[in-house]
Amino acid sequence: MVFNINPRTMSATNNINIDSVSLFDDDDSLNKICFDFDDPKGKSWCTSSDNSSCCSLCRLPNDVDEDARDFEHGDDDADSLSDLEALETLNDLVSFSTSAAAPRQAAPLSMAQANPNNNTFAASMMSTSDQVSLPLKRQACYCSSSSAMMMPSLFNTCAECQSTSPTLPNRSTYFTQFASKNSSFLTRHHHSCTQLSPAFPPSSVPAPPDFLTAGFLPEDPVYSILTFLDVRSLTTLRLVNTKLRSMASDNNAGWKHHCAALWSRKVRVCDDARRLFDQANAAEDDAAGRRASNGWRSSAMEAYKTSILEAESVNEITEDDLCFDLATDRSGVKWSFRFKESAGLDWTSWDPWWKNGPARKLVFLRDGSILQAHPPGRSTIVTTHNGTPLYDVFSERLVQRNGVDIIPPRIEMRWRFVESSMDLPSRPDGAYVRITVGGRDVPTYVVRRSPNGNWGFIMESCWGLYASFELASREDATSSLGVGRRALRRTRNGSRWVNVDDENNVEDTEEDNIGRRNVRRRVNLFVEESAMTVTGVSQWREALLYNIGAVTLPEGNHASSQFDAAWQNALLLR
Amino acid sequence: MHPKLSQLVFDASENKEDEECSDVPILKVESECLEKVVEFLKHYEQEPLKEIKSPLEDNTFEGVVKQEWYRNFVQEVDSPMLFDLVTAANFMAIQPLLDLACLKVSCLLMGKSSEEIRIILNIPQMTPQEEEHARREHRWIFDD
Repeated sequence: MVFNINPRTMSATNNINIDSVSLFDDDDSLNKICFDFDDPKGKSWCTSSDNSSCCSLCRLPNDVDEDARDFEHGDDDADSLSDLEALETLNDLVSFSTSAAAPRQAAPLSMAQANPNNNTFAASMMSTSDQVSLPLKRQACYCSSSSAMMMPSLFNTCAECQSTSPTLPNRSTYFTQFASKNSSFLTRHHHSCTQLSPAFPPSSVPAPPDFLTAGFLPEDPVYSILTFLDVRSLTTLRLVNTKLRSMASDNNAGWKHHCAALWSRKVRVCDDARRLFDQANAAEDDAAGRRASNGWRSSAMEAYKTSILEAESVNEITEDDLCFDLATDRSGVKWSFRFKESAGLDWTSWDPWWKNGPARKLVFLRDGSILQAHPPGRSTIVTTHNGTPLYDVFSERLVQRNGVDIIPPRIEMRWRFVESSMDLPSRPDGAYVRITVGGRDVPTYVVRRSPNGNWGFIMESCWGLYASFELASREDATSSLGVGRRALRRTRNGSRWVNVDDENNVEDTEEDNIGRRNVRRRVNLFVEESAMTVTGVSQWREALLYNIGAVTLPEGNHASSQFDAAWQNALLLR
Repeated sequence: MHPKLSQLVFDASENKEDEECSDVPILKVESECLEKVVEFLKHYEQEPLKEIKSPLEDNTFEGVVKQEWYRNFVQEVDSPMLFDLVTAANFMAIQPLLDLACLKVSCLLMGKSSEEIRIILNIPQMTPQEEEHARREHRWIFDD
């Protein structure tokens, strides 16, 4: 069992909070290590086969008086100490030393119950949290006196007599002498034996220091190592120990690069993540000032995490996500819009997307209106925002009457958030957008994250689709993975590359065809109706009401039940 | 050998008043490691190492370091020597060697579990409670 020891309070807890648990030769650490033993009959102490520098327990501090170093290997005489006396002596030693270091009274010592299966030995240096852990190994040490009881000791079993010795100093002579000269000394022993007790395996020899975290490497090269790691490796490193957790979380570990690399592939990153990222950048410029605030050192990592969590958990939009005119000098999202095939030829026939052109660009304004940016053909400017001229939606349309092109009446479009839709389940605010076209409500647009993983939003109804990013044109989406490129795949039996759309390749097997179908499915995500989630079946009530001439579509929690009741009545009357 | 590659050596040689004595003491680097450093510097003079940029373009050491001699240079050393090289390169301020050695260490750690990392770096175990606490903190990256 490992105990966490606060050397100032000398309180011991079972909670581990260590900065470094490896062993290394450092005189400073020796002065700071304390021991806490909670069981007089416990059998925990250091094991070592070499008193040179195996561990801090076995090594005398440099400032120990020469006289104090020498005391004879005791035998069964009046100087040998009983268990209780030994414990009291240790208590006195620690109390004396800690009182010199800190004015607080040390907690009484007791013997720790070591895990007998624990062959590792670790004594850690004081971290900034002043926490020390010391798992001690069970060790048999017999006094050659009449008592055959196991005597707690910090020292090895004597190889000569096998029954060890009073390894603790005589209280009356040694302690007084020594304590007056060496106030920082905590404990000491004399190794007269160099052999472990045969009851314990030789593997208890302490391990060499770890390479990375125990001060073996300075921080700069450690950060150089960390900057080469990917995100998953960095987070795995944080599981290793507290020191690595701290370093792998730091801004210097390369998190800003990871943020930049991730966000470069996304169309939208939440404001909180960007704010944290800016904090990390500002921290570099003003390291001294910002150091006082908690968390600044890992704000880039927090930015990375926040952006991912937000993209996964938030599937609704706010007005800030939706609107174009957020501020007079700031432009928001331009939504790409196209009709679905289910909208019918009357609408798809003059949709630029269905003519293999770019999708229409619509903007939502804070006053509830919807306008169009960059319309094809001739249109009249309605307003300008932040240097972008805006036009009425569909204003480039021309209608022919008696062979003459006429400009049709203006189609006003407006938007609002609705709490719920007739055909769809309850969701948080920002999940449903109702659009009015020419004064009539159209079926509700359902908000969700883009299925292609770019963190953008789409708004989809049974007849139309809005995307907060550039929609691939119909031609590009059906023919390639990107503008100007073809999708290729290898044949199964050789190294030939064939076009993804090539269905006449005799070398293909069924597995190749499946692969090709999978590729086509991904590429054609916004073309095929089967890829859409909102259809005329799922929105049949609203679609039906619109088609029979309803001006306003019901909304609210009871809309569906009211419609169903009206529908049943209509069927009965019929 | 290019003296300017090691900032330490360069600064020390610049400061030397006695121009006849050109020895620069490198006290903090073991001799075996220093031999490897010299080997690196000698080869660097003939074939400079291409810059290793972060973030990496490839997750493998061979994918990042295309020059065979440098690949073999770090492949041949064991872990203690590798970390000695990192320390020496940092101490002597030899940036290309530091980048190469740090990259090799990173590749050793990449894709490994926490337990494997502890074995590689010779770090003692955390308690199950500590590891569980740390894993809970990172559920967002481990839950696929």
